[in-house]
Amino acid sequence: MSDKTKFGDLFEKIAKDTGSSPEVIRELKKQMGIELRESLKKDGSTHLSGLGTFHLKWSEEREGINPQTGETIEIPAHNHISFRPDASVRRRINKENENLKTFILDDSGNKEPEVPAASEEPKTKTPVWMWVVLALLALGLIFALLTTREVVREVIVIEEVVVIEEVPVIEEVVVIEEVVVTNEVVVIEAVPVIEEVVVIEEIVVADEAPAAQEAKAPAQAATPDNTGTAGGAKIDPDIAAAEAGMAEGEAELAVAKAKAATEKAEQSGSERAVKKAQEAVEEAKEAIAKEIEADKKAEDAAAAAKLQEGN
Amino acid sequence: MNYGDYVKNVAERMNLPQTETKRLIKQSFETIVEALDAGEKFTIPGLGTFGTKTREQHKAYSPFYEKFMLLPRKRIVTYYPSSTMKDKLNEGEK
Repeated sequence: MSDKTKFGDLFEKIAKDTGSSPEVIRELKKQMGIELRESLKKDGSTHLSGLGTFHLKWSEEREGINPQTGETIEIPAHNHISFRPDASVRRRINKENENLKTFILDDSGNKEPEVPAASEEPKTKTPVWMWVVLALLALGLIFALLTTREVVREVIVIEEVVVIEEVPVIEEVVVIEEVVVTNEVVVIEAVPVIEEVVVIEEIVVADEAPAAQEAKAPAQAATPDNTGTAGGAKIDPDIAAAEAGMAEGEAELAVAKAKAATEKAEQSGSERAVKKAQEAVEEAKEAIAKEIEADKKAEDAAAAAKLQEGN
Repeated sequence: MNYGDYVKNVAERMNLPQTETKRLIKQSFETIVEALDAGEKFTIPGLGTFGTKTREQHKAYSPFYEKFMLLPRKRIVTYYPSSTMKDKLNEGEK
C-alpha cells in the first residue's frame, strides 16, 4: 500500500508537536494500547474524547465455511471490537461533503424535495430530554444562589443605591458669571464701554457633596478680587451680596439634604452610608462657614466700593 | 470507562503527572485525526490499523420511511484491531 504511513513517521510528528522525547511517546503509545485493552476487558466500552468510542461486541459460536477450501468449520465464540469515531472527527473528515443531503426516493425513483434525514429523528429526542434536565438544574442553581447569597447581595445593592443618592458624582461643574462693568469716567459721552469678564471654573468632583461644591463656587464668585478693579471699574456690590446670599441658601439646603440622607441611612442600617452622610453634613457645614466668610468679604468689598465712589 | 479514568490509568503506568499525560494523549489524538483527515492509513502497534475510505452516493432502503433513500457521499473511518489486541481480548474466553 503506497499511501500507508508508517507509525514511526506519526510518532515522530507527535514527539515534535509535544516537545517530548520519542522514547516517551513510544512508551506512551504502548501503554495507551495496553490500557485500552485492559479497560475494554473490564467494561466492554471505552470512550476516548477526541478520537472515538471502542466497543466490545460478543459473537456466539457459529458455523462458517472456509471460502478457500469449501469445508464447514466452526467459528469459536469471540469478542469483536468496533470503533465509532467521535462526532467531531466525523465532521472534520467530511468537511467537503457537509453540504450533501439525503433524499427520499419515490416509487419511480425520483428525488422528493423533502429532506428529513432519518438519522436526525432519534437525535432530536435526546436533546429535548437533556434540555429539560439542564433547565431544571439551572433553576435549582439559581434557587440555591437566591436562598444563600442573594441576601448579602441585596444588602450591598441597597447600600450602593443610598450612596449614589447622597453623592452623585458630578464630573464638571461649570460656573459662568458675566459681570457687566460700566466705565464711570465721562470722557467719552457716546457709549459706555462694556467689558465682559467671564469666569469659567471647572471642578472635577471626586467624592464631595454636590451642594457643598455648588455653594463653594458662588462663594468664590462673590469675592470681589476676581473682577479686576484695575480699569477703574466698580463691581455692583448688590450683585455680589445677592450671589453670596444665594450661595448661603444653597449651602443650607445642602445641609438639610445631607441630614435627610443621614436619617435615611440610619433607617437602612448601613454603617457605611451613615458615615458618608455624616461626612456630607460636615462638608456642608464647612461650606456654610466659608459662605459666611465670603459674605463678610463681599460686605467689605461693598464698603470699599462705596468709599471709592465717595472719593 | 471514560477519558478521565483512561488518562489517570495511563499516567499511573507512565509515572507521569496526569496533566502532562493528558496533554500528550490529546496531542496524539490530534495527530491521528490529522493523519486521517489527510487520507492516510497507518498502524499503531498493539492497537490496530486506522484509515478512511469514501462511501460513494448510493441507494438504501430506510425501514423508518419504508422507502428507498439516496444517501450522499461520505467519508468513514475504518479501524481494524491488531491481532495482539484481538488475542489478548479473547484470552480469558477460551
